[in-house]
Amino acid sequence: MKTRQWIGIVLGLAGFALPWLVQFPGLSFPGHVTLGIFLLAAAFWLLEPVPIYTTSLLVIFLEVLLLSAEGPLFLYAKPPAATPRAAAASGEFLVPASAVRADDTVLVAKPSGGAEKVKVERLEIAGALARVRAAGLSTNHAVLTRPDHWTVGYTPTAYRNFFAALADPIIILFLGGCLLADASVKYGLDRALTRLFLRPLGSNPRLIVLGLLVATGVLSAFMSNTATTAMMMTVVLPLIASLDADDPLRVAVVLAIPVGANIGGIATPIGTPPNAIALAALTKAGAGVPFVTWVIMALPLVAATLLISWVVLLKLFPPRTRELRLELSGRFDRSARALGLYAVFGLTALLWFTENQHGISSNIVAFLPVVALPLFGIVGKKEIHALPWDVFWLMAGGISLGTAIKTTGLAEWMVAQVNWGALGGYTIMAGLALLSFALANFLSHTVTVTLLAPIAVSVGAAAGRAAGFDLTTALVAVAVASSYGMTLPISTPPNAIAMGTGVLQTRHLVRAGSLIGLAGLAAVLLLAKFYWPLFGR
Amino acid sequence: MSPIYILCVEDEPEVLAAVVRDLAPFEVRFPIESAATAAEARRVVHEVILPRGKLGVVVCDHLLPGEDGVSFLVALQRDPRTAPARKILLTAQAGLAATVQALNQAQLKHYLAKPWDPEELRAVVRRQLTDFVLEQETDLYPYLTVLEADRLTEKIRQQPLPADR
Amino acid sequence: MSIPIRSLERVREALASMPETESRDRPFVAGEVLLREGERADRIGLVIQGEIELYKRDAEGREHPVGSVRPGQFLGLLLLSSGEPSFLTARAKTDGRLLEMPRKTFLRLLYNLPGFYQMVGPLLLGNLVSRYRRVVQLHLQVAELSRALAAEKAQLQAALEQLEATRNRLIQQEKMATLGQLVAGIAHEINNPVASLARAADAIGPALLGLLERPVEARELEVLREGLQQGLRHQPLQTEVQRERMDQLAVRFPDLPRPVLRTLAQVEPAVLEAFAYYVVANPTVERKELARRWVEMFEIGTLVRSMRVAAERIGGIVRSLKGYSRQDQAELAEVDLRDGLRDTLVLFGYLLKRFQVVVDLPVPLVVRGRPGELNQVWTNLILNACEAMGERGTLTLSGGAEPGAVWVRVQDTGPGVPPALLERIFESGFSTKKPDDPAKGGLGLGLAIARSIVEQHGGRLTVENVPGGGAAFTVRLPAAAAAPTHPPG
Repeated sequence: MKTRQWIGIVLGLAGFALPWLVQFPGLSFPGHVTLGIFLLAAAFWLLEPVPIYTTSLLVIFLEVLLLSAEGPLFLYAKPPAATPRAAAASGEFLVPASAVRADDTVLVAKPSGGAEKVKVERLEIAGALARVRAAGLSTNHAVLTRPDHWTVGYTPTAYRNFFAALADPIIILFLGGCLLADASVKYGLDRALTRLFLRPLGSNPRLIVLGLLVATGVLSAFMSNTATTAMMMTVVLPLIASLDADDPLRVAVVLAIPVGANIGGIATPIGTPPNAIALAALTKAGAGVPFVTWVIMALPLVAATLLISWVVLLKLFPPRTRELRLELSGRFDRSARALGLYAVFGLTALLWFTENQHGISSNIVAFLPVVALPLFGIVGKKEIHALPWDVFWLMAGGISLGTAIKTTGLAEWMVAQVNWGALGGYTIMAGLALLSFALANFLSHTVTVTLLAPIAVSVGAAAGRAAGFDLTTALVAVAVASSYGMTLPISTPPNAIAMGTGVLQTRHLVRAGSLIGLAGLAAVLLLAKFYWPLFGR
Repeated sequence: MSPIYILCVEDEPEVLAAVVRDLAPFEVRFPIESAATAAEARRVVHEVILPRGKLGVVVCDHLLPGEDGVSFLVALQRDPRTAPARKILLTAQAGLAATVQALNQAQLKHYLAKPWDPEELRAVVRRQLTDFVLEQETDLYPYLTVLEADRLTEKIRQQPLPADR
Repeated sequence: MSIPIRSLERVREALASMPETESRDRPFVAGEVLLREGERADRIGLVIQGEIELYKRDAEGREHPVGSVRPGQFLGLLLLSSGEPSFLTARAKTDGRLLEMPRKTFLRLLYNLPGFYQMVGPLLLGNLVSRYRRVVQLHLQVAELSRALAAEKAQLQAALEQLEATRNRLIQQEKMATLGQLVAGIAHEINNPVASLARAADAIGPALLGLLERPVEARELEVLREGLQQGLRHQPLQTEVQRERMDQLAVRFPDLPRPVLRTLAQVEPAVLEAFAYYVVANPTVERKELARRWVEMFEIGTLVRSMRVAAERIGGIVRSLKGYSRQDQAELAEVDLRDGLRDTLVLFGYLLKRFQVVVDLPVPLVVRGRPGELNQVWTNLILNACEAMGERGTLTLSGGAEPGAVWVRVQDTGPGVPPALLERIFESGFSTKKPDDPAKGGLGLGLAIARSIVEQHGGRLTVENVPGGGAAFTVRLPAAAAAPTHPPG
């Protein structure tokens, strides 16, 4: 246990306890609870005393315990209620005086939970009792004696809705993408595609670096960035074995992989978890975009920044040798199963890209490979077991936290603390993107977006379109900016893999990563101003 | 990441220098230590190699002053810290009995006769280092430029794919 | 030829009935000696019954049966003509009777009494004839026996030659076994320098090519030449020292790759200091480049030196081999035993690696002999000592001169020789070795051959147990008459 982790535990527990001890005006009780969970989660995610997916699960569990209808909190915490007694005349009831609210209504407990307002006519108040006349009252339904009880105002969600985050459609989307990616590796499709891309480039080192950037980018749009980096590294490292030890081309080639992977992952919703989280948040906020739309939004950014990366890498690490021979193994597998994979992959991609035409959600399409691949024996139990369940659960925690923040009113309250209207919508969005970029250099990208997405959504709710704030643009910008956080070895696993090869030194990575990252951020801000708002609603 | 060492044991200085020279391409990743007798080799293993890292491959002559090469290799096999190391005999004279003992008790991996072909020596050492790394190391990337890349790649591809965070 | 009994009986009757014959009946028993060789006898007898064996003494006094006298034959026939002592000894084989008469009487009657001759004449003649026939037969037998003897002698000769040949083959086999070890030893001894020669030669080509790729300026030439000289002169370091220096250099120059550090560790510290100062003081690109080339030149120098050392090694082994196997067997030459001892040690160096070897040969040991054979002696003694010592031990070779003799002692620290076997170990076929390695198969002839060679040179080979453990074999040889005049082989 390092110091950092101890600090994380202390801060997390403190943050969780805080709302129970301090009353924040304007925030409902469930909002306080959610705030506590949020602070706990933030501390645990930032400082990682426990693995981040564990924190996500903790979030879900706390939500079930403390915010769901069947959780112990709301199960046993019922507002005090009393049954009205019939008074002498019909239509007249005796109720406790405290049950009558200022606006001449009482709250009647609904059998399914929650309360219903019923208008009453005050007839007389005698001490603790009041005689009222109302149409909607009966002696069968209790009235709440303390209408300002903390349980009032919040209809607790069924606990199944919190658990449902584990199978959120976006998670399914991601699951389908992961399974396709793993199957591609199993049948060497990634290798064959790489060879296909790089073959025509000949032996010009400059072209080869570009080819590597593009190939890695394309692959990582469909596979996890880390997996793409791991695979591509095994391809390029033997290539550079023949170069001189001090030829900068070695560094350029090895760096092209994590850079290409990080940037390429931006292109599709399944390219990297932050994209999926952002899309989930957008969908929940009613501003979701189809698969193909995301791609259209992201593609110019990806292409531009890949080109910029190419220039930067060659400028920083000019190749000394004139030619680099590529001997890539990797034929396209022609076995029946492989052909089945190509068919499923092709069909899924086609359906994704034509979502606007046929209208079937990409999440539903994503389940096609999940069913077809095991069905036809293309993948087996081994691949199912090897799926990154911890990442799915990490995302699920983020998604469910976002939901809770919205439904308990915490989002509105947080946002209400700042006068967003004073700032321009674009400024807010730029600030969010900048914050995302900055945090992502140090934190897991997924965590960064998980923490910032609800805030963006809330700001969107608060600031509204009037201030020029477009939720779609904002969330896309936050997600995409996080992918450009690649300055340090710890910023992203692809960077760590690149450092682990021993071919480059930290200063190489920092120099290239910061230049490319900043260029990417600039591109994001540019596109956010002019291009993405076209896709918003 | 602690370094993996190659140990060369040979009592004639010129021959030892030739072996080390031939294995120089590996030194970018695997430092080479040398010794002229079995006793000195033992000292090197315990005072230099094991404290700083691991012993990966031993290239050993049989006829050494005092304790002979095969006895030294058998002793290495008995010590659990050096048992995983790959043992190679590079010698002009080792009778059948000694070779059989080396095979059975020292897990000898390869026998090379002097004079040796440098390409063959390098190929054997590369193969043995790859075996060692596949067996003992979890992070295989640093070795992809020096060892048998296709075997390392196979293992990497068979491991569960790392996922994004 | 025997006389029919009837006629013999008639003759006896007739003779017995004549008083002038003075004959008498003389019975005899088996084993009775009737005539003794060398004695005078004056009686002649006619055997009536029984059998008498005749014996003759040979040069060594042994009696040999040479015939027998049967009824109807005369005993003492040969005495008839003269009074010589008896030629033979007569011993009765069975009981019997003979009719005895004085010799003189027999003769007188024979010449004078008519009718006497008619009576006994045929008998006499018959006896003589039969004896003559026997002689002729015996001649034939002798001739045949001679032939048979000659044939057998030829066979024995052939068998002896074969045996000789087999013995020589066994000795050759023993020598071959030793030769096998010798060849293995040479192969190993030569292998190492050949390997380092080949590797150095392979490495020099690319190194020189690399060096010549870039132009060299005149002022740099001097520096580079110095680098080459340093390399040519350098002595290989002990691995311990090299490691220490490498560690120190790694601290000072952490950016240099290990192979370069290893090379720098070989450079003399003083030179290295000057060199390092030159580069570190003003680390321009040119100086670094010059430094790099200096190191390359130094390496080339070490490679050349390696090749030279290896070639000298091989030359030394070949020289020792020639000295060892001087096959001028038939000729005696004056040799210093120390040369042969050293050659043998060189050629069997690989076997001796695991042992401590102490050589104490301060004075010349000059003898007259066949050096090839003497080297065989040293080989057998040294191999024997190695076998005895097993895994580890100390082999001591010492030698000295005394007036008229020189001695060489080969001493080991093995288990020694059991006192009961001290003499037997020199016997052919005696071996305590168990041949686990066919190349080392002991036929048990090694020490026997050694002793035989030493003795042929007029010397002695003895063994004794050393107090403290081990055996010592001492060879004493007569010193050469004159002082050595030939250069050592």
